[in-house]
Amino acid sequence: MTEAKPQVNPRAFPSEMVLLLLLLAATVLLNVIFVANWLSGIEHGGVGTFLQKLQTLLTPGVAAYGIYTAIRIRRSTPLGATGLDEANNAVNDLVLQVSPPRRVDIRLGKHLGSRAYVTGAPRRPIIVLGPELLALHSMPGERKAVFDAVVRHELAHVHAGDLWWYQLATVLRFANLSTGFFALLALWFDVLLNRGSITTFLLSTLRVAALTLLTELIARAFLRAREHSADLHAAQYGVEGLLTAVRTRETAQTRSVVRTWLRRHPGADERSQALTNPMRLLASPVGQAFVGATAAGAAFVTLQDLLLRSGTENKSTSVITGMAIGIPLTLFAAFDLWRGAWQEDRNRLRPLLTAAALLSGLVIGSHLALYTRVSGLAPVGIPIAPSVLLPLAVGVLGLCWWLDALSTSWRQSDPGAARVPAFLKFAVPSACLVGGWLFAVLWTWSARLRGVYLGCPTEQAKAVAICQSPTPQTDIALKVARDFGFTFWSVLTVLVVAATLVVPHHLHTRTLRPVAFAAVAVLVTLAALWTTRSAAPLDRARAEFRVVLDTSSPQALGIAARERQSTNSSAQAEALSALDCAEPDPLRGKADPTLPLVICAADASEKFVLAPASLATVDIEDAEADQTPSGYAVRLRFTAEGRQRWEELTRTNVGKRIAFLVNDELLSAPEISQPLTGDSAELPGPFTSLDQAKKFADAIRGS
Amino acid sequence: MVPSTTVRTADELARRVVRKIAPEELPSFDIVAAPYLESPERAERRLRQAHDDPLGFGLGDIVAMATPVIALVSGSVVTAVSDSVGKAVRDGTTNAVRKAWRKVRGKPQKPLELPSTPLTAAQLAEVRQIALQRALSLGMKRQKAEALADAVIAALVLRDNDEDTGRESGEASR
Repeated sequence: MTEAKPQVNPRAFPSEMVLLLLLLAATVLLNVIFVANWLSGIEHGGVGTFLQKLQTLLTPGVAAYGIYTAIRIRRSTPLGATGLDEANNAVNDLVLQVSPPRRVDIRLGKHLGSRAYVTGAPRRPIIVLGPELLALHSMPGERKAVFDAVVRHELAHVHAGDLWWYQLATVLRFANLSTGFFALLALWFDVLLNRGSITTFLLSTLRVAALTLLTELIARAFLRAREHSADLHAAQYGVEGLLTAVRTRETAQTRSVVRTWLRRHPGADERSQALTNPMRLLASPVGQAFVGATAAGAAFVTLQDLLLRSGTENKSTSVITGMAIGIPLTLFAAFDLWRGAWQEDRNRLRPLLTAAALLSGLVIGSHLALYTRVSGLAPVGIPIAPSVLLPLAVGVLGLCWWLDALSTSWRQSDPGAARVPAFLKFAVPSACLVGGWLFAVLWTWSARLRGVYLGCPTEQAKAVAICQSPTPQTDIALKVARDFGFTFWSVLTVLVVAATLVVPHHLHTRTLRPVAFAAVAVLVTLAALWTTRSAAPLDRARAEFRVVLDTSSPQALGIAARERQSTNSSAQAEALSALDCAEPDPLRGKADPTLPLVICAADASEKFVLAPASLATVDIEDAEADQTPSGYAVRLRFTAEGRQRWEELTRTNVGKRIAFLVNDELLSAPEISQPLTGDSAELPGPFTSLDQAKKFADAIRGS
Repeated sequence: MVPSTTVRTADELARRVVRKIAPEELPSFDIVAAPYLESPERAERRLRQAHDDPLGFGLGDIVAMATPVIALVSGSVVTAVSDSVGKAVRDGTTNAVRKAWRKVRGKPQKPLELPSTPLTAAQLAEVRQIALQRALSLGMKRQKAEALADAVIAALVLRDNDEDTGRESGEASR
C-alpha cells in the first residue's frame, strides 16, 4: 500500500506576489521622485516645490481610482432600497457566515447581468451584485450554490483587504503614465529646440511603452493571484458552487498567451484546476520572475542615480542601491522557489530557469530606466560584457540554487508544510543577508565597470589611473574585494549558506555526514580565499603624482571641499586663498584623481593648486623606505609603462614642481631640474624616522 | 384601456414566454428583464461583451438565464410585427434617428405595441423564424430556441386568453 501524499495548502506560504507589487511600487515611485526632483530643481533646495511636484504626479492615480469608484457606485442602488428583501436577507446571511473584518454595503447594479464586484473605499467596501445573480438566491440546486459561491468570493476579497492592493496598483499605473508623459514632453521640447534628436525621442517613447506594459503586466498578475486566493477562501465553505460557476465558461477560455497575461482574472480552466488541486498554485510561471527582475533592474539604475544626485558619497551609492533593491528581489525569488519546492511534480530545472529569468530581467530592466536619461546625465544599465554578465550569472545562479536547496532540505522533514513559519523565521533573515550582500557586490562591480566602459574612452579620463591599466577588470575586482571586506563577508556568507543547508538536514536524519561535507567545503573556501588574499595586493594605498600649478602661504579661511576640485582657474585661486591648513583635511582619501586639487602640504607649510594625477599606483611596481644624507625617503620602482610616463612627465615639466601624494596626503613637491630617466625615483617626505617612511612604502606596495 | 391579460407589449409577451419555458425565473422577471426591455441595444452589447471587472468574479455572465434572451427576442418580435413583418430591423433595433428625434422633442418613449388584428399564418411563420434566429444568435441552444419560438407563437395566437397569461385577476399591468 502506498503512502498518501500530504496535501499542502498554498495559503500556508507567503505570496511572492506582494513582493512583486512592492518591487513595482519601488520602480514607479523612484521614477516619480526622479521626475519630481528634476521638474522642481530640488538640487537648488526647493523642497516645497518638490513636494508639490510629487503631489502633481501622484494625484492622477488617486483621482482615477476615486472617479472610477464613484462611477461604479453611482450606477448601483442599495439592495435594501430595492424591495428585494429575500435577496437582501440571503446576502446578509452569507455576510454573517464569512464575517469580514469591516462593514460591507451591498448594492444592486441594475445593468450588471450576472456579474458582481467589490468596489468603494478600502475602509468602506461595497459589493455590487447584478440582478441575474441575485435572482439565483431563490432557485433550487446548483444555481443557489453558484449564488453563494460568487458572493463568498467577493466577500473573500473584502476579507483579504484586496481593495487596498487594487488602490495601490491603480495609483502606480497612473503615476507611471503621468511621469512618462512629462518625460516625453520634455524630450519633445528638446527636439523642438534642436537640443535632442528625434531618434532619442522615439527610443524614449519605446522605453515609456515598455515600462507601461511592465506595470500593467505586474498589476494584472497580482490581481490574478488575488482572485485565486479569493477562490480558495470561498472554497472553504464548499467548492461545488465555485466549480459550477467556473466550468460554465471553461470551453470559452481558449485565449492567447498575451491575453492571458493581460487579464485581471485567471482563465476558467486554470481556476477549475486550482480549485480541484490547490497545490498547483504553488508553482508560478517563470515569466513572473522575469517581470519582477525587470522592475528591479529599472529600480537599480534610478535609485543609484538619485543617490548620486542627492550628494551621497560615491562609494556607498552602489552598496546602498544593491542592498535596497537586492533584498526584496532576493525575497521575491526566494518565495517563488520555496513555494515551488512543495509542489507535487516540481521541475528540477526550476532554479536554473529562475536564475535565467532573473539575469535577463535585470539586464533588460536596467536598460529600460528612462528618467535618468531625461535630465542629461546618462548612466546606462548593466554593461553587456562578459566581465559583468558572467559574475552576475554565477552569482544569481548560486543564489537560486541555494534558495532552492534550502527549501528542499526543509521539505524532507516537513513534507506537509506544517512548520512553514519556523522555516521562514530562519530562512528569511538568511536570504536577506546573503542576497543583500551578493547584490551589493554584484551591483558595485557592475557600476564600476560601467564607469570604465563609459568614461575611459573620453579624452578627459585618459589620465585616470584605472583607464591606463591594461587589466581594469582585475583592478576593479581587487578594489571591490577590498571595499567589501571580502574575506570576512565571504566567510560569513559561506557559513550562513552551509548552516542553513546542513542544520535542517541534520535535524531530519541525525547523521553527521552533511556536517562533515559542509566543514570540508568551508575549509576549502577559506583556503581559496586566503590564497587569493595572499596573492593579491588588496590594500595598496593610492599614490599619485600631480604637477603643481600654483602655490600660496598657509593662512586662510574655511572652504567647501567641492570648490577645491574645481576646474575653473578663478575658483581654484579662490579656493587656494580660502584653504585653512590648520584644519583636518575632509578630502583626504576621497579626492577625485581626474580633477585638479587644492591642498596643503603634509607639514602645513605651503598650499598648492595641483593638476589632475599623471601617474598612479598602477604604475608603481614596488616601494621601499630609504635613508638619504638629507633625511628619509621613499624609493619607488615603476612598471614599464610607469617608467615611460615618469620620463614623459619629468621631460615636459622641467622647472616645475611635481607633487607626490599618498592617499591625498601631500608628502613632497620637489622641483624638476632636468628630465629624469630610469625605472626608479626617490621621493623625500616629512618623515621623522625610517619606520615612518617604511610605513608609507608598505602602504604603497600593498603588502 | 387595454386589459392587462392580453399580450400587446414586449414586456407582456416576454412574461408569458418565461412562464411557459422557464417558470422558475418568473419571480425575478421584473428585475432581470427590465434592462433588456428598456434599452435592448445596450443590454445586448453588454451581454455579448467579455467582462473582466477588477475584483469581480471574472467570468462574465456566469449563469445563462433564459429571461434576458426571452426579453430581447420579445422586443425584436414586437418591433418586427408592429413595423409590419418583413420590414423590421432584424437585430431588434428600431429606427435610431426616429428614436433620437422623439428624445429631442422630449416625448416619452412609448413602448411599441402589437396590432390588435390577429396575425396571418404567413406573418406567424415569419415571426417564428425571427424569434428562432434571434434566440440562436444570442447563444441559446437550438432545442431551447425552438421551444422559445413556439412559445412566442403560442402567446401571439392566444394573446387574449386569460388562462394562458396566468395572471391574477385584477393585477395591474406594468
